[in-house]
Formats: sequence, structure tokens, C-alpha cells
Amino acid sequence: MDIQLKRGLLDVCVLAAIKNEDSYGYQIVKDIKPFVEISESTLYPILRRLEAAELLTVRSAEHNGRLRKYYHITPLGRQRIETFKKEWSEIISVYNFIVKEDVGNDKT
Amino acid sequence: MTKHEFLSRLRDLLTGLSHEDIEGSVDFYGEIIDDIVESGASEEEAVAALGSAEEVAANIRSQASADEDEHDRCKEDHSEQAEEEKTVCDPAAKSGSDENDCPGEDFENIVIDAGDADVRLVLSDSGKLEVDCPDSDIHTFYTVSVENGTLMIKKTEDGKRYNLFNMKWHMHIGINQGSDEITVSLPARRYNKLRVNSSMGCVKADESLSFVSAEINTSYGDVIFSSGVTDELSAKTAYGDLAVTGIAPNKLAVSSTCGDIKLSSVKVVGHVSAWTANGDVKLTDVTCKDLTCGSTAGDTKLRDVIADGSIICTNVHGDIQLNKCDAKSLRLTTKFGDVRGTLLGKKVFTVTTVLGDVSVPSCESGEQCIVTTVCGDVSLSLE
Repeated sequence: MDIQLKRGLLDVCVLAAIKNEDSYGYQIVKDIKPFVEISESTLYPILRRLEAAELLTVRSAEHNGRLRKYYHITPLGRQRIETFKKEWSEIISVYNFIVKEDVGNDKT
Repeated sequence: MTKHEFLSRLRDLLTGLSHEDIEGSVDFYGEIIDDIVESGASEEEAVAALGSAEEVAANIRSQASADEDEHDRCKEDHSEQAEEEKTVCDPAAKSGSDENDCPGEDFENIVIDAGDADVRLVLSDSGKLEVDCPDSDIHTFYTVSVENGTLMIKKTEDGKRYNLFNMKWHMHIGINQGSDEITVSLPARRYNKLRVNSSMGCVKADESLSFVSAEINTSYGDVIFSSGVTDELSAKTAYGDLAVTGIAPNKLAVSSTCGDIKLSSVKVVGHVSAWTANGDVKLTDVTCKDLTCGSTAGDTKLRDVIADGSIICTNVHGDIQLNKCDAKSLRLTTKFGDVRGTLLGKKVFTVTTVLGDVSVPSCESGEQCIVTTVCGDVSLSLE
């Protein structure tokens, strides 16, 4: 997938991965991997960016005698997912336009 | 490789990034390794699953430079989005006073807190102050005021949330066709202090303006500075490039973490410092008293650089290239790069290298030039 396209989608994917319950780094990667290729070193800057934008918050909690960071979506984060869903229809219409052009060219 | 070995190798490889970036990455990977081990792998397997520390470090760094690319849009034309959601913020209107009585004229300092917008400073065609910033019908994103002789442009709380609520679809998929821009058109005269802070934006100051001193800070944007400065210019960017041309201040300090630095046609009375961690440093036609410069990962190129006092150039990985440069004393250091080029005037060379080949003229008398490398070759000649 185009790298620019992927980078933009990953932000929303990460928010989606924590929208139902708080999650942690390794789990987020496992959840997203089946759909979009993501590595741990790609995830880290995204988490920091989303935290800086107040789309998620971070807390450390004890797990098996060590600290693990859990990421929690904020109302702003949810808003961003909603906006994304809403505006996706614009992308679909652009996609339809592109596909239509293709068919036209094939005929000539 | 054990977890401990992996993390300490990673820490070494990230040298040059901020302390926060390094420790944050190391904590993050430590936790991931623990989690993989907990899911049933051995420590060795968990570390192996992440790839080599070199790959991981390169990935973290390239992510940083990808962020840089995304925000590298100073060079793009802003005319398109300029039509959208922009109004002229007139300080006179904001303060509710009579149009003829423009408080906008009564200032000598300028402070701009741009948030994520680009900032562009230009000469006013009409001879009047005009501030053009992103706005909408409902919200005020910036306030413009004049207080105690200072023009202040600040982002409001609404403004800070603007981008989150008003993301266009193309921004979601990573296509950013340029950001909002604050354009400040200033009447022609010399201003005292200019201070600009921007997180995401680029900062451009036109050659037709002049300031006593200027301080520019941005995290992601480029800085292109060609306004006149008489006393001191200090410019910093974390991810952007920095270009300064045609100025003659008393003092000049520029630095970047990931970007390149270019200085050209600069005459400085005192000290010049130019540092970057990951980019290249390029100085062309620069005169000054003393110069300190260098890059951790990049090359340093000096052409027609003349210092009355000393030139101290310190690289780690990159080459040092000099072309018709001169100073009373030169100290050129790079661990892994080569040192090459031409100097003016007689020099007494003192070269220390572990593995490099050395080719320098031998002079009995002249100014000092001390060159130190570990692996790099040294090849200098005199003109």
C-alpha cells in the first residue's frame, strides 16, 4: 500500500484498536496486523503523536510484577473516528470517479 | 541477544535524538519484549522477533524523517487553500476602536505563537499592518493585539482544537495539501525583536524586512530566513531544514535535529554556530569572527568561509569538505568521514588519524590546522 495512505490510516486504526477497551503496545500491534502491516517501531511514534494531540491518554498499570502502559481513548479520539467515518464517503465518491474514468478509457 | 543487550544497543544507536525520544523508545521496546516473552517465547526469540537493533533504530529515525516529509511544505504554493476559511484580522477592529486610529502601528516587537500554522512575514504593499490568519465564521482561532509596544498573535483554545475537528478527508489518508498560514504584512521600518514559535509550521521571513534581533522556533517546519538582522538571529527546528541568506548580524546560532542547514552570503561580526544531528551543514560565502559547526550523521561543506578567529568543525560520521576557507586556527574533527579540500594562506598541519591516509602540505610556519579522524582520510591543499 502507498506509504502516505498507510500512515494516515494507521492513526485511525490505532484509535479503533483502543475504542472498546484500553490496550497496550503489543496487543495493539497484534490487533492491527491482520489488516494493515504495522511494526512496533511504527506504532511508537503514532502513539506519541496521538497522545500529544489529546486523542488518547496513557497510564501505567502493574502487570505480573512489572509496569505496562495502557492507552485510553479520549472523547476527542472518538470524535476523530466519527469524522473519519463520515468523510470516508467522500473518498468513496472519488474512488468511483477514478474507476469510471478507467472504464471510459478502455472503451476507446 | 538478551533484552538488556538489545536495549542498550538501541539506546546507543538512537544517539542524537532527544532524551525523551530515546528513553520513550527504550521503555516501549522493553515492554514489548516482556509481552512477547509472556506469550510463550524465550527472551532470545522475543528479541529476534523485533529484528535487529539497527533495523529498529533506522525505523524510528525514518519515522521521524517521514514526519518531517509530511510537514515539509514550505516550498509548496499556499494559494489554493488560502481562499478557504481565512479572514483578515484587523487589530483595530478587534479592539473596537475607530478605524482611523490603528493601534497596529504602535509596536516595535512582534511575538507570534502560531500553533500548527505556517508563518510568513512580508512587507506590506499598502504600508499598513495586515494580519491574515486562519479563521471560521463560528470560531476565532487567533487573537491579534498590540500590548506595550508588542504585536501579539496567539492561538486561542478553539484554535488549538481546530485541526482535530476539521480534518479534511485527504488529511486522514496522509495527504496534506499544505497547512494554514498566518501572513503578517508589515509596514517598512526596522523592528526591534521578532519571536516566532510554531509546532508544525514553516517560518519564512522576507528579505525586505529588518529586525534588531530574531528568535525562531519550530518543531516540524522549515525555517527560511532572509530578513535583515543587526544584532542576533537564533533559529531552531527539530525536523525541518533551515536556510539563512543575506544577513549581517552580530551573532548567529542555528540548529536542527533532523534537517539540513544552509547559510549563504552571511557576514557576522561575532560568533556563528550551526549544528544538526542528522542533516548536512552547508556554508557558502560566510565571514565571521569564530565559527563552530558540525553534524553527527551528515556531512559539513564549507565554501568561501573566512573566520578572523577560529573554525571548529566537529562531525562524527560525515565528511568535512572545505573549499577556499581560512581562519587563524582550524580544528577539524570527524570519526568516520574524510577531511578534504583547499585552504587559503600558510598552515602548519597537525594530523592525527588511526586508519586514514594523510596528504597535507608541510609548512614550516603559518597558522594552525589541527585535523583528527579515526577512519577517515585527510587530503588538504593550500591555494
